[in-house]
Amino acid sequence: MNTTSKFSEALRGAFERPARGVVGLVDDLLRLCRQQGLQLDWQADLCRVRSRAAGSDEVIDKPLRKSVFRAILARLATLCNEQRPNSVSPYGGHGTLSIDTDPATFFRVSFANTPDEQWCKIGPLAPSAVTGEAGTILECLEKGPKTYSGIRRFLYLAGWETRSSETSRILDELLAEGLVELESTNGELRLTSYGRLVTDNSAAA
Amino acid sequence: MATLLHGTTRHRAEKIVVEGPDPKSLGPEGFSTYLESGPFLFGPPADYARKKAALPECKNDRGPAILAFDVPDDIIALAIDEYFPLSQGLVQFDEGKGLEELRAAWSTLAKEIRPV
Repeated sequence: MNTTSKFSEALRGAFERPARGVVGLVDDLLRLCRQQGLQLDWQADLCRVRSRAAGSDEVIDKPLRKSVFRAILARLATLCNEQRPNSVSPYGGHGTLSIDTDPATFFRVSFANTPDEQWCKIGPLAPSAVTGEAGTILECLEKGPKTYSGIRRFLYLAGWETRSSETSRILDELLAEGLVELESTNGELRLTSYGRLVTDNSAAA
Repeated sequence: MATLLHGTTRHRAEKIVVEGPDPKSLGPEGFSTYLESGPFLFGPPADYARKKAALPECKNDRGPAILAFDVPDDIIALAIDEYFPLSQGLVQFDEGKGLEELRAAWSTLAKEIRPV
């Protein structure tokens, strides 16, 4: 069984056999997100989950009551507000969170939870936890041709926007929240997250 | 019997008191309530009430409020399933999951609107 099908099986299991209700389901989704970003949305009684497993996009459709999906989003909002009070509204926003069982791993969450719109994107923040076909983020960046594309790769694997026009905006948000630090010394650019090196010019040469 | 809380606006709380939780206005998301005793793993009802009252479409709803009402255990049991165990503190009434029974008993239930 390859990594992708194992991941899909774990994802389906989380929805079909929730051991501890929606709270446990969200914990399971976050555990799965330690490896790659997830995007969930709900339309016409279906929950659609998009993952970036093993470097490729994968889509799973799961029949789910709307109230269950909205409870998932409400739980994510509560976890964000536990991490940083009033950082998100119950109706949407973006924030960060960690879970009790793995407090060292942080996740980036954006979501909308209104009567007309229900979706969320979840991605890991700790670069060491982000693995894909090409290896860890740092390994990806070491193979990357440019610092800027390295940052884009980091954002892509973390489940955030990939359009280049979005990159600087997202990076600004991460910097403002203190989740990454950018340092320029003698012409060298270094991006770190929780003290771990994400990229620099020398690695990107 | 348990006391359940629903965070909303005063206008909407008054409407629910009179009409009961109406599936037509609630839509497919059903009627979300919380055990008064908690836990509040999805956020406290007072927060929902404040945020809802702050929405532009609720600006004339006379502010936040909490609708509190007592529900027999056998009706609450209908809302419990693998996604919504009672231990989470969230009692989610959906169509086919206790909403019809709650509506049928609504006129007999003790209820009050609490300020936030």
